[in-house]
Amino acid sequence: MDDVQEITADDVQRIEATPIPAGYVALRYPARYPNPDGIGIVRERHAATYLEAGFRLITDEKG
Amino acid sequence: MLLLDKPEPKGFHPTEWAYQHRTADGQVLWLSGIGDVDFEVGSGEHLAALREQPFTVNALADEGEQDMLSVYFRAGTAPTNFYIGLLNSTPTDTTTLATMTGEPSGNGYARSLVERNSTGWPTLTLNAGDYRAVSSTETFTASGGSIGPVTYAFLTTVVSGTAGLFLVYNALSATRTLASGESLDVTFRLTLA
Repeated sequence: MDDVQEITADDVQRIEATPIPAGYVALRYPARYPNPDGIGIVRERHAATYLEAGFRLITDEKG
Repeated sequence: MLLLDKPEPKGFHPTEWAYQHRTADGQVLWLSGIGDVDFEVGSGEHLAALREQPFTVNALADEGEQDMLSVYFRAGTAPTNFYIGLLNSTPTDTTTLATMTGEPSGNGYARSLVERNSTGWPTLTLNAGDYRAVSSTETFTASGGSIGPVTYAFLTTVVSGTAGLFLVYNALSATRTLASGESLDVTFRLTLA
């Protein structure tokens, strides 16, 4: 994917500061999809499908 | 039996959704078809309400009708996966991903994957004499800010953007706004009658 977005320190800081349910992960959207803050939360077991679509994993599962 | 007359409401007979709005600390705030509630997740009251919760009937969009008939009867290309999204607008049968408006963005929103297999559709059973498929329950969670207000859910074939099909849509029956940490659970089912 040539539009995969790099994970920024701000991404990590924001995810660490916000609640993500157990079993879910935070992903950064690829550049081709509009999303103002660029972060989506999806089921951990779904993450591979999103990664194939160009999303980037920001964190591992957080409780 | 395949219905030859157009059923009311329009669609396979019927396709339905159910929704649940809950907080991060395990309180259920609202159930579609029931209204505002104040239960702990998993409590007796909650489980009793889930047993009574009616699904709300939805509509097949034109693209969904065309795609289902094409795939089954004409060996058209089937979607790879399905995704559930949310909207703050009122779709119609002719709505497409390119024309729809009001999809949330930010604060953790992403269309939620429903795999096109027995994981995404774990239940396929006879119900009152007709076969029914029920999706996995998918959850939208707001993080760092609110998601919404939203009034509709929809089923599509793409994870984001407009290069896919707008298949099915359904009113939530009440406007919902997810505060940071709150979640909306969505379940979709479809019966052929």
